[in-house]
Amino acid sequence: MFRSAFSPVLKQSARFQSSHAASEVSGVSKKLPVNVEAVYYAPLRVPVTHGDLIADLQLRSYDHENLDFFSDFILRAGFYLGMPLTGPKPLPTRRERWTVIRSPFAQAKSKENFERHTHKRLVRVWDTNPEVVELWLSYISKHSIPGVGMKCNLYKKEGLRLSQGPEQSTLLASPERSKSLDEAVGEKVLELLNSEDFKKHMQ
Amino acid sequence: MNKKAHLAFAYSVACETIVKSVIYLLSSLILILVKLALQNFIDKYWYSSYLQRQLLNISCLAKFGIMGNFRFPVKVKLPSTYLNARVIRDNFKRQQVAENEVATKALKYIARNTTLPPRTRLEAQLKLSVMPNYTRMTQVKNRCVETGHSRFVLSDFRLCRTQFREKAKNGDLPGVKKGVW
Repeated sequence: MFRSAFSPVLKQSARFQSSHAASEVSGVSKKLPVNVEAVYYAPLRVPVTHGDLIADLQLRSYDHENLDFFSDFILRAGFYLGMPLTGPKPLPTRRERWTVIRSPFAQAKSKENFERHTHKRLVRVWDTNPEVVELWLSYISKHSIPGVGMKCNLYKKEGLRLSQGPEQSTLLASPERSKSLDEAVGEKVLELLNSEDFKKHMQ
Repeated sequence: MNKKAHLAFAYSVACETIVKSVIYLLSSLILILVKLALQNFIDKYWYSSYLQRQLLNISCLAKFGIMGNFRFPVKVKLPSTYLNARVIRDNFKRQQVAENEVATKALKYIARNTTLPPRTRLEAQLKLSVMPNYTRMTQVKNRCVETGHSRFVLSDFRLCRTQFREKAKNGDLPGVKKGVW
């Protein structure tokens, strides 16, 4: 959306880049706002100072165009929020391939190949307040592009002592949480062993 | 005079259309109510997704809905895929396996636990072997969602090879392209 709207301007700006810093829109010599003009240049990065990893965000897509555009958007949004980000680091592309017989019946010598590439990018967040990260994430997910998936891991540092340790999760403590399969099986085993059929063998 | 007649005519036409539309609305409302009531009644015994697909196939109802001819007097949920006897049978097995999973695992645990007395373990083994075949996971076979075919089913898409090829060529499977490498 953004990219397509600006593509003619982008070409022009590339032509004028040596002579004018300001890009001209269809002959009208009017300066663009600074933040709009900044889109034509590489983003101003916020340097990493402490090296505390706060979160990492993995982006996945079957198509690298949307992915690259969106990861650029994510980086810029983060830098405007003052977050030191690194990336986008390209992670190994997953290639899935299928070979199927062309015909619905017989003629099995003639086959056809299909493939699906899953492109991945990694953006890492350093030295940032968790609230800012949350804000950033909500902003990103609000403006997300179709066909690009996101997965975010948040890291949190805790003291060594258990008394200061992670607060008990309400999910784990709540009485109405669903039983795991192992727990259910354990209960069933006890129930069976206490039943008449098994008790007679236990003596 | 002419104007008056015109007005009267327009008035009568308007009245007629209003009455017609009211009758139409009422009738459609009654139809919808009847449909809803029917749907509610049927939904108790029947899966609505199946209704959408095959609008009350009565012979099928006799076969599976009421379970007259079927071996098991158990109400079974029908899958929202292509349906035929083999698909329904497979789905039935899946439901039974899920229902009996805890019991099977518990019995296996007892049978394989060497600290328990041998008689107990044997009892568990006997109980396991008595359990019907449709409670075993090995009886379950993946089937194509579109055709019910059981061979060459790609588990990524739950489709058989022909359906996969057609859909991939139509671009219905996101990201799947003709392979060139």
